[in-house]
Amino acid sequence: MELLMTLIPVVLTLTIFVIGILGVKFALDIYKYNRSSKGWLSMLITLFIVPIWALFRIYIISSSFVSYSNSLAEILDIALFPLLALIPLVVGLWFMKKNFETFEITKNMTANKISSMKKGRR
Amino acid sequence: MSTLLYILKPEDYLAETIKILKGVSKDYVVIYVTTNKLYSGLKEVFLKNGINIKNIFFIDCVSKNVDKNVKAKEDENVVFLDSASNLTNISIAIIESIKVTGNKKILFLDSLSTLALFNDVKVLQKFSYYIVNEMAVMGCDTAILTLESDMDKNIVEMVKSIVDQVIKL
Repeated sequence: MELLMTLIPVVLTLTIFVIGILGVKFALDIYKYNRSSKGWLSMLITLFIVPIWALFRIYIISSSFVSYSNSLAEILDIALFPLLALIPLVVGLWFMKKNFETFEITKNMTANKISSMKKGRR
Repeated sequence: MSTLLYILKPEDYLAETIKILKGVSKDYVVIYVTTNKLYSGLKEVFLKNGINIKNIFFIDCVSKNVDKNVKAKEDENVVFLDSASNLTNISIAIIESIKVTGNKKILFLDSLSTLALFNDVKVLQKFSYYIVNEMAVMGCDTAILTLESDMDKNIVEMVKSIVDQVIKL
């Protein structure tokens, strides 16, 4: 039982790393295929921070030197790491949103212009 | 519907483009995607050579690189896109313009060589494949221009295999 409780966090942390690496690959592919603005790549920061956060959690859980409650470790774990992970994620999504907005603008602009052209040719 | 790949010598590029356009712009509505010449320059050259630009709708992927605030006047048949590297935007503009256009229409893609400068080969191959097939489904003829010097590049080899005819001028 104790072995299981030790192994589970290790396995899950390794899984987080693997998923993080996959996430990095997908984010880079999306950027390559869509020529999304470079701001989209800030999502990669999130994908690096989450595994580091997982490692940090393993460290504080396993370490007898770190006192968790009312400490810097608690602040880092509960607030700072999630914040550091969320901010680049939201920034990346914002840039992606702006990119998709330009697609909508292009579509509407083209539709209006070609309709005017059709009227002008009559 | 037919898809043609025109292979042109650099020194004859503009002259041959004008010759091809003169022929098609009489009977077709031309959707002209330009990735290497400004709309303003093309308009001047085409008018000088007696091409009816009222039948041509320009998708300009160049002018915004020179002037980010460039805007089309009300009577100008042009949309300005951010760059030749945003293939999604170019696809959207092409599809939208073909959808609304009547029966006889042709897409002029000028040029594959310039698009290859701005885009990864694999991505450009997928774009070319998508556009050629989409135009066939939408009942639109397609003319793709490329430079003779690019003939052996992967992208041109791939496009040669999906077009109906390769014309070397």
